[in-house]
Amino acid sequence: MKSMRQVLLEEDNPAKAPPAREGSAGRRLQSSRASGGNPPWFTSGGEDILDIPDLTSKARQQTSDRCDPRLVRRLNVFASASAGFAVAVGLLGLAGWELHIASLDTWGIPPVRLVPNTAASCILLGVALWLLRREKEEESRQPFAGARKLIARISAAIVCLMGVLVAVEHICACDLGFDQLLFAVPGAERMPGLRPGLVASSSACAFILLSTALLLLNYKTRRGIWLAQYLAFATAIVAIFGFFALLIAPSVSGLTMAFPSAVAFLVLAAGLLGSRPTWVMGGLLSSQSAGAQLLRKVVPLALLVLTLVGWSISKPLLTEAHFTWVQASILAIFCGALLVGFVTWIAFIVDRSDTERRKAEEALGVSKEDADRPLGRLEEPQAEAQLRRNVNLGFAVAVLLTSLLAFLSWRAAHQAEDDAAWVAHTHEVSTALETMLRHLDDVETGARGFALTGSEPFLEPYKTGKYAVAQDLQTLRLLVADNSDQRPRLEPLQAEANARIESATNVVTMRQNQGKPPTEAQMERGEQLMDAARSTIAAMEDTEKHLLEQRTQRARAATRFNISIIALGSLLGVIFLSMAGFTVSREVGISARARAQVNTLNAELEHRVAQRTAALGDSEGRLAGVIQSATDSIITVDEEQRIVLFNSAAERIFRCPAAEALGQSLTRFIPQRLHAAHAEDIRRFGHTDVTNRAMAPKGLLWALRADGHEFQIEASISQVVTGGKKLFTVILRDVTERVQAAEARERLAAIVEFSDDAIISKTLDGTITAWNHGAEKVFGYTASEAVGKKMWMIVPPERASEESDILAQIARGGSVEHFETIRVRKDGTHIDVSVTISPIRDNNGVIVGASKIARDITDRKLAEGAIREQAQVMDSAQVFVRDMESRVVYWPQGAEKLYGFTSQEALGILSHDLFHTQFPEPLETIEKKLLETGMWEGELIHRKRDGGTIVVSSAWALHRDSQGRPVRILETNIDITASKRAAEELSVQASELALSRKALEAQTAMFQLVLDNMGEGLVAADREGHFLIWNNSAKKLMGRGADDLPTEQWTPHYKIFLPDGITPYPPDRLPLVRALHGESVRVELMVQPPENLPGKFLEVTARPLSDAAGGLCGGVAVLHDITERKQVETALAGQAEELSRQAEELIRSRQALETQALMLESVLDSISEGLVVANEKEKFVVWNPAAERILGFGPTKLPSEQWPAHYGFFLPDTVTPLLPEQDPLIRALHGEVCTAEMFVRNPKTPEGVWIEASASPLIDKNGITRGGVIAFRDVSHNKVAEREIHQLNDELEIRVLERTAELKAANKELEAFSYSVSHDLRAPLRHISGFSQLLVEEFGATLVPEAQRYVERIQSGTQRMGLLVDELLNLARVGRHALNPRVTNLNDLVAEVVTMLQPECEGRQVEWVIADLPPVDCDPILVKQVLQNLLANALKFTRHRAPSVIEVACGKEEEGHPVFMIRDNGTGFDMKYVDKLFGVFQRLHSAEEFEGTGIGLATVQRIVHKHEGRVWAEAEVDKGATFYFTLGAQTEAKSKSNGATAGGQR
Amino acid sequence: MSSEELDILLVEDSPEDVDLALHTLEREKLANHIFVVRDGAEALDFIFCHGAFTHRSFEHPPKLVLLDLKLPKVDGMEVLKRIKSDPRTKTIPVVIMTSSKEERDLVASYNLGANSYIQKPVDFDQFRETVKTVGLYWLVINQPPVMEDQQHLAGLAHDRH
Repeated sequence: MKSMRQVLLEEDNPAKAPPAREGSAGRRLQSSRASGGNPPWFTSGGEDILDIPDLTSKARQQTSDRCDPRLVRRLNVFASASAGFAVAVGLLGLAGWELHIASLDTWGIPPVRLVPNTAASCILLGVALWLLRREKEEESRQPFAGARKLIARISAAIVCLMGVLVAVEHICACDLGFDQLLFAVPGAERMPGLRPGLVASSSACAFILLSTALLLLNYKTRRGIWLAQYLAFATAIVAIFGFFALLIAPSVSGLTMAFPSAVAFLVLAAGLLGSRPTWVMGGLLSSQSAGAQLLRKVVPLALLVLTLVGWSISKPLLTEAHFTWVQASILAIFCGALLVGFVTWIAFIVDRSDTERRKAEEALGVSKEDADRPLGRLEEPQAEAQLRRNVNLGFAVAVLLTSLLAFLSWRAAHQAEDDAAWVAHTHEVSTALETMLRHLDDVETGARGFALTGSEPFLEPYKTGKYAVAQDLQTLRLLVADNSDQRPRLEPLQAEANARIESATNVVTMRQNQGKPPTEAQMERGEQLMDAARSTIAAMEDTEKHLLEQRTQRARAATRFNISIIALGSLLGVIFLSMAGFTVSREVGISARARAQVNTLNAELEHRVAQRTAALGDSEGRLAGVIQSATDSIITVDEEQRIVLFNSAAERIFRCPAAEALGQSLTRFIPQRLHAAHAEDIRRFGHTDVTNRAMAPKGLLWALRADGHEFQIEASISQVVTGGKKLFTVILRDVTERVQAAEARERLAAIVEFSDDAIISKTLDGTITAWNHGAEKVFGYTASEAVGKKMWMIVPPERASEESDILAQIARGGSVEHFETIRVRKDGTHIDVSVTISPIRDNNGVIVGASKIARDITDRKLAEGAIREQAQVMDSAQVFVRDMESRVVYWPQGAEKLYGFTSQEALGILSHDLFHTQFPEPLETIEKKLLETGMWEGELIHRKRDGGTIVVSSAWALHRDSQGRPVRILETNIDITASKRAAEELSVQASELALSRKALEAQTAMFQLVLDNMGEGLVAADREGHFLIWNNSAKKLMGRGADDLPTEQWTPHYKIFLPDGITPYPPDRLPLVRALHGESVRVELMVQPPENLPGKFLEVTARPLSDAAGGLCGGVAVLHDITERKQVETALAGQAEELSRQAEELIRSRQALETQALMLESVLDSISEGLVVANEKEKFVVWNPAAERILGFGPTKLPSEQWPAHYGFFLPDTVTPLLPEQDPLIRALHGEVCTAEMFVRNPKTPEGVWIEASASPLIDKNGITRGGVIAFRDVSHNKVAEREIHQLNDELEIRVLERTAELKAANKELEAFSYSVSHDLRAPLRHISGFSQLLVEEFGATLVPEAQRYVERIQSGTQRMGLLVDELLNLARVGRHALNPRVTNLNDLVAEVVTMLQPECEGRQVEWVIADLPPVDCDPILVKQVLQNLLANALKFTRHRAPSVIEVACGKEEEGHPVFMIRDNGTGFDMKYVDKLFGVFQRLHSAEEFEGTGIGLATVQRIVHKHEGRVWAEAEVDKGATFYFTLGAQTEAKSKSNGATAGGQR
Repeated sequence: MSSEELDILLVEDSPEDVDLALHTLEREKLANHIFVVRDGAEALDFIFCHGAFTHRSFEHPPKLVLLDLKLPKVDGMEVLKRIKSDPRTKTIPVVIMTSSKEERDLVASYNLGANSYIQKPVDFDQFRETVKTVGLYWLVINQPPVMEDQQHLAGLAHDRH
């Protein structure tokens, strides 16, 4: 068992073999050992990884899964039993021989007995199997293992040897003398043709196979293939074959097995397989897998079904002689083997997929139940459900179809069987009839013989015949009981037979009693009776023959049907099985792929786990290092607050070595007052799920050094649970220094924060890093808004560089103090600031930024500005102060500047005097107003120091003292002289402008008027092409107003063309467009106005417009209508041209006339026709040289009546003179057109000429006849030729008549010849044949054999001669036969010919393949002859073929005619001799081989040629021949015209 | 030979053919009474009871006339024509038995009312078979018209003369 498991494992999946598994497990072990080196707190969970699956035990389980132990046991028992069975069979057989009980050797299935040697071999094989039935290991444990094995081997070897010897006997047909070694077998006990006791060849084969199998029982090839199983299968096949032979054809000697031996071989083969159940088909037989179960269930069922089906169809298969039993058996075994093989294949596939699934499940760690359960609940995917449905449906259809076919096949088989029975029955009837006739004949001959000779021996047949006839009649009555046609004939037959017998009896009795021979009358009567009986029997036989034919045909049809059903069934079976196989293999493929994916995923997962593990190991090592080298102290405590880890930083901080700290309570390092809080904190943390947090708010944590010094710490705590224990790790840091530093910083920060000055810190690149409260106030930005932004945010753009300079300065290490500048607030207002900027250095003294203190100095700046401004205003204002007496008391610089008086000159002087003030109203009124209101304003005119007057706008303000008394007057004067003057100038300009605008308007209006009324169109446009002017005329000329369009669209819009009126004007060449580009042009163009008015020709002058500065500002175009001018011009030009043309024409016509006259003259002189013209006064005006030549005379002055006589005109008969009124010229002069033929003979033309003349009158424009013209030519030559032709024709006709007569005579002669040949040539032949026959018949006895042979030669010679004569006549007749074509259906002709040839097919297997042939127009009688000759030839030359296949078909057309083709699979011929094929008497085969005259194909050719067709042949020796023929052209045309009819007939 | 028992009138000029035919007919025992004439004229005389055969009467026509076509004096076709065109004799079965298989002979014979047309086979066995079949058919199987009708017809024909 162990070795088997190994094999199975190796077979299943090498990748999963145990060594590989162990390897991976080993690797894991190693990795876990590595983790064992980690710190103790990491080892606690390590064991979980170390779960090594017990793979070997799984593999074991899997193997035991595969083999069903119960089945294995059963099969082992079966193997033992089969061995015992074989021994029993052998012993029983030998006992049969010993005790002479044949049934012990046949088991009831005679005739083949189990021969003694076979029986003995069975015993030996049984013993060998018994001894070898256990597997090697088990066997080796048995006692005497070596001896047992040796005995088994020897037994098997003996059997093998015997098998070989028997085979030699069979092959060499020799006797080696051991057949009867055990028992003397009597001769009758064996099949005929075989020596008694000889073992059958099939049995010998089985011996060899089985014994070899036994010898190789424990042997497997390197690939694990168990050879013995194949030998056992082969044995089973041989046994089945032998059994079939016994069942179906036991008489075939040598192959037939005795029934017991066949059974014994089968059982032994099965037992052999059963002895190693786990090896059969790689363990499949005994496996528990689905495939194995399928195999075990399906194979027996399939074999059973196959056997049943085979049994049901075997009978007709064999009886109808379509199969020999060997073929049938091979077919059956082949089908069986195929079926079993196929099922096994499927089983293997299923098994493999099952195994795969199992493995997949195991790999996933799912038990079988687990795997099944959820799958059962899971919904099947849509596609798979569909597939399953399809598969089920497909199988249902397959089963249905197969069932149907089986049923049909069964039916057909039965039908065939019945038909065969009927055929046999008919044969029986025929035989019975013949027997009866023979018996009757016996009676008759016997009676006559006795009557004539009186010799007693003649009575013997008479007597037996007499009784036999009665019996025959009875038999016949029974046989034809079912045939209503035959039954009524029985009665007369009986009567006739009886009468005949009676008559014979009479004769016999007469002879016996009276001793005298019968009278002639009696004899005659007897003969008549005999004839009557004969004819009745003949009639009955005919009927039976007819029936036989019918039934045979039916039987054949049934068989054919049966065979086709079987073929179809097999085909369907193969298809269905292939489909099933395909589906299953596809499923397996899919599952295999899925499994491969799972495998890949698994592998990947494993890989990742390994990676993780390795990473973990690494990180552990790293962590330890980190912990030890951490700057923060790390302390781990357990739940009892005992320290388990104390790193070097902790040692440093707490000033306590780790060795001291470890194992102590943590409270040692916590001040007394915090113990409780700490414990509570830890406890609470321990209850949370949080793994990591800070320990307490900042500043609340204090720790105690080993020296009792308390210090402030920052700490975070984390907890981990390892191995069920909780560990807390605290990471803490001494923060005393930091806290102090922070406090100092905070103080500073508060100062900064609450300063009113803006304090800003920034980096060197200008980014704001701090922004205090003061800055918020100064700049409006909050700290959050400003921090992170750039400083330039608060710098006005115009001072942007300032900040950069400052930063640069700071970066160099300098500082800026009290630098006043302007900055921008958030609201956009500018503020004045004084800034002090100093660098910020880091701990290392490197400048990292700048701090800036900015103070808002806007208010200060404003106050300063206001004062400065006031002073300036006062200085620059023309203000002075005077007292109430108008004395100047204050004279500022502004007044001095305005008036030119210095303050010394002005002070104390009356102001009005000083300035020679001119008041706009009386001073008193002003003063009064001033006193009332305290204010006066008005315009004054002052004189300056230089004497110039100025106009000032003066404002007086009364200043009162605290008591309200007026004390002084403040007079402010602003010099408005200049503005006054300007205003005046302006008003002048305005009035001037108004004037000029009016003038312009008038001008424009006039201009418009002018524009509108001018006759020429005017169009102006600005530079962009917008029309500025478009006057009425322009509108009229252009047909449209100004439409604002891009210049490119002007041409199509206004329909502007070149002067030719067709070509659209190129838009870029338009005059106005060119003007807009600065060109001055004048062009002509055509405009096609809308509404189909006639086009206008315009002359356009365009110029650019320049503005005052000389720049191009537009263009103007003047349109001038030149249509009329154009028209006139055109008209004039036309007239001129016409005139010149006329003049030219005149000249030309005159020249032409001159030329024509000349030409006419020369023509007249040179033409060969005579031409004569006479005027109305019958005077000849033209008489050309040809006329003179032909007529012999020139013109005459004779009156017209004498012309014929003068010129010698005759009618064409050359003798009758022409009358004047017949003269064509004279007739033409009378206005008649005519032609005539004449003969001219006069003294100048003595031999005469024939002329053909045509004459016509000359008619002037007014229709008056002005003369006549006659043209004539000499036709004498034509006349002569014509005569000659006539003469020749006559001669020819005579000759044709003669020839025809000759031909007719010849034809007649030929006909007479062939007729007499047909009639007279055959008669003597017949006579020779007849008399030589008679010679043999009547004197045969007296002729010596030699003479008889000669006479036979004479007869065959005459027959041959007869045939020759017939065919020659036929050939001749074909030649004479007038073609009588009509539309013919060739298929009908072929059918007729085939029927005619039927007798020659008797006893031959002939297959006619006749295609649909198109109807053709031909002579059916002749074409039938063609078909007959060709088909008969085909039949003749396929004589040695079985079956003969003769094919009639229509190939593709040749030159429009269908090519008919007759093909056979006969002997063919060599294409070398193809030329001879159609010659008369040409034969390509010897007369002994194939009879024939060599005229048939000549006839065929003659007929085909008569149809204007072509016949040819292609052949190959022993491959058959093909004859082609077409039926020619004249027939085709007709067939086309008759096409409809022909089509209708089909 | 009594005229009322005549089975076959064989019209044949070739003595060999006569011999062979007779031999066959006798062998097959088909006809006991056969009369042989050697040319067309004699055949006409026999049938129409002229010349040497004036003693014959129309009442006993031969059951079958086997007629060759190629005959001396009067052609077989002529003989056939005469037989078939006379109401007294036209019911007599005439089988043309000749060496020729000429189409026109065939057509002409049937057109003239021949009851059958047989080509004499060259092979003697076939010839014998043919003669036998012909004899069997016309003398045994075929039902001849009733004699009274024939006589009546004959009478009519006489009246017309």
